[in-house]
Amino acid sequence: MFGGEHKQTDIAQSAIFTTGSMRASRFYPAVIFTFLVMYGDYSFDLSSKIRISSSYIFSPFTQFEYLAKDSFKSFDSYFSSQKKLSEEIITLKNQIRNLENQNLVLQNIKISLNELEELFDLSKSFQKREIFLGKITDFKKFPKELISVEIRTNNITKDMIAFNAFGLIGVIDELLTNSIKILPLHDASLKIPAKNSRTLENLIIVGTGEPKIFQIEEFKKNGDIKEGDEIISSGLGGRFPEGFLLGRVAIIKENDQSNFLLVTVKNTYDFSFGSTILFTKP
Amino acid sequence: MNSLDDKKSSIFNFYFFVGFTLISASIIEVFLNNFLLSRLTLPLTLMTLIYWNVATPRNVGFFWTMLSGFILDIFLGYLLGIHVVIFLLASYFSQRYFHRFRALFRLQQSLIVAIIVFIYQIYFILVSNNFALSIIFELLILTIVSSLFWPIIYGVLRYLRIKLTYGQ
Repeated sequence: MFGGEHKQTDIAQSAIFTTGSMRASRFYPAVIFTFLVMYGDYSFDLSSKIRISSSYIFSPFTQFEYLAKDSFKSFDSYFSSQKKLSEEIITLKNQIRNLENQNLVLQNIKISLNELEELFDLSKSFQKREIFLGKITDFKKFPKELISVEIRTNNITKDMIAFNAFGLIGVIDELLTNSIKILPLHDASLKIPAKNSRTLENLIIVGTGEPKIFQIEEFKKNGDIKEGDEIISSGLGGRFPEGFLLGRVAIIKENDQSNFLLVTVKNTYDFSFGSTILFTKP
Repeated sequence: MNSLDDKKSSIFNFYFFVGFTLISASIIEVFLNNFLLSRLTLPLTLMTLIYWNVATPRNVGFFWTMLSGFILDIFLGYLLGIHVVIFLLASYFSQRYFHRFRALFRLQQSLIVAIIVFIYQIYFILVSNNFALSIIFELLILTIVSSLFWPIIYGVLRYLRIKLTYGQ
């Protein structure tokens, strides 16, 4: 087990007084030469010149580190800048979407303001009559056409009529606590006292159930009427105010079996237009 | 005739292989010095030099010793010859006492190498006038690390030497 150690110790004991063949005479010339080089470097700065020359010679190797670093940086920056760009594009897209939404909101506000402006212009014609505003909340087509309007007052009564920015649009069908249901003028159940603005002849127009289309009730064949005649509300009966445009005569049809003409009146009003409804007494 | 040529070629190769290992060690030492950012370096060249002087004292002249010393002087920014002087001294004493050194255990050899490295580092502290309390810490650490490196350097170079000499 300890054989190796004994052998090692024996060798060490025999070697301890042994010296190599190296003699100092071989060593001195090298040392003298080295001291000469040291003196030369100290006096003439040889090492700087050697360093400069060697830096030129080895520059491809010494610059390799910087070259690798630069390459890595440009590689990294390429992808990081691409990433930054894509992130910026996403941010800008979000900003564009937000701006579009804002634009839509502003457009709606503008439309609402225009509508309100129209309504206030309209309200000037009511002079001393009280006016109330309501917000449209719902629009129904079935079983009958109706608009639900939210109100914040209890002063609205069932005999009031409804206007939007275009003008007269309907009557109150149902009065609830905080809302009102409006029946459009073109509802078949409504009869509106009107007159021809050209001839001032009194007429009754009735709704057809179709938007923007009315018919003149029992207009005699020998009556004076032309296509394009303006039909306005006459105010008779006190249900509707006087002087509001209801439409223009669009079609006049004659029926041999009847003494009356079939006169169709069309208006350009949109019953479902806007967001605000004005109520007032006729 | 043939066998004589082979022998010459082998010695020639071996001589250059020693030079190659010394220069490689110098280059590694320079890179390590840049990498470690310490004032002292891990003396790989010195340890390689000790190994070759102890292992094959007849084949290692002063040429490679001086060349590797000059390389270190140039690239580490010392006055030309500073490393060479200490390498020559190390070579001289290694070749003079290689019998005794070889006979020591590896642990004892590590201790001797540690002492040589310690002296070597103190020499550089004196040369560069770099007296600071913090450098003592570097000195001790590098001495201990060098003594730990010695068996590795010894093993690797021995393996290479045997490979080159006997081809097995």
